[in-house]
Amino acid sequence: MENVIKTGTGTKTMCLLFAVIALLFGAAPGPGAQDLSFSVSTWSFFEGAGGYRPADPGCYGEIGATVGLTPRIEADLGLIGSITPSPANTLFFNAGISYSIIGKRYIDSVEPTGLFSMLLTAGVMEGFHDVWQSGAPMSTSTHLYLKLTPFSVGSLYYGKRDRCFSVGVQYDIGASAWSLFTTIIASDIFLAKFGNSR
Amino acid sequence: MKHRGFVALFVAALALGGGDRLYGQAAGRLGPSNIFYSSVALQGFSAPGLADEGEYVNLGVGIDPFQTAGASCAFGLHWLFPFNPFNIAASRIGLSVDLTIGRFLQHPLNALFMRKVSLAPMVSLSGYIQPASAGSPMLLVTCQPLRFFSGDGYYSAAAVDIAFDAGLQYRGWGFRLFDFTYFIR
Repeated sequence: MENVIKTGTGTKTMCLLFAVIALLFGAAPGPGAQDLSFSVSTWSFFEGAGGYRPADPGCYGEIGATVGLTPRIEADLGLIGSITPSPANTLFFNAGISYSIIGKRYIDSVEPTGLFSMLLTAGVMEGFHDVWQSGAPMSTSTHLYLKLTPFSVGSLYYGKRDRCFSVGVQYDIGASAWSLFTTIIASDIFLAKFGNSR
Repeated sequence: MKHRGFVALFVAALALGGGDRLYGQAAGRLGPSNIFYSSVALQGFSAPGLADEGEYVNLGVGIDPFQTAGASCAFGLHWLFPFNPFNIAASRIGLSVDLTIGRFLQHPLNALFMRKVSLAPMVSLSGYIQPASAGSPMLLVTCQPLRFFSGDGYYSAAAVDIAFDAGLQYRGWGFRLFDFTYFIR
């Protein structure tokens, strides 16, 4: 706990970036928008230089949604929360844009995609620490991140996509510190397609 | 002692030589056809004084010799070590008894899967010790209600552990993000 640097930044730029991604997500039912899926994943935050940690040690999971913007680009919105030792005592609101590197992530409901792909994701997280823990004031943090998902199997054409061993690097703006993170496994479950896609 | 030794040898021979023929499957059931398995799980604990905070990886091997359409009982050997933060010295080794309660092809979560899977919830009892330190032994009662069998193994998510110390005093709880079991020959 003493190694976690919790400094709120509230930079207008990051909030604006977060809002832009959220708006992209909300504007999904547009000409290029394709599909909506529900996502669950694990998150693991590692220690950086000088003992910095973006979050206290423990298990973290994310639930969220993914909307396809184009056949290769998707927007993700999610909520990352601590599960152990204190459920929901640390929360991150996560917004990201992902690009499917090897093949198209989704074309339409009649044209199959490749089964395997890789994803590159850029995003922003807004962290809330010590949300309900007594005796500690809640603090916030803002993080930029870049994440590579080397194994993405399936696609929303097939109804489900599994992603594993994603590795990323995040930058805490307030603490001016870098650290690595990983999402060992994630699943996307197709929910709906939008009117303009077949 | 001699009698117990013969019984143990008999059970082992039965399991190794004929364990895969012990199971019976009623029509419409899905279940494994092999008896040896390996497993991997990612978990954490909220048990102050018994298990440190952080993420743990649980690697296991075991045997699942007694399989019926209604239930099966497996025995496992596990290595539980802190993954994040990494601390191999705090590793625990343990044994488990895993009771799978039924396999149900018809269940409300079928829509989540692309192919037929059966729901196979499990309750497990395991005990761990820390060989490298004088840490307190840990007993876990694990409930895995969201556990599915797909032909090659079991896939479980969101399982809950109840943690006890060596004196059977409640010390906290744990959570398994995922627990995958794969059958091998």
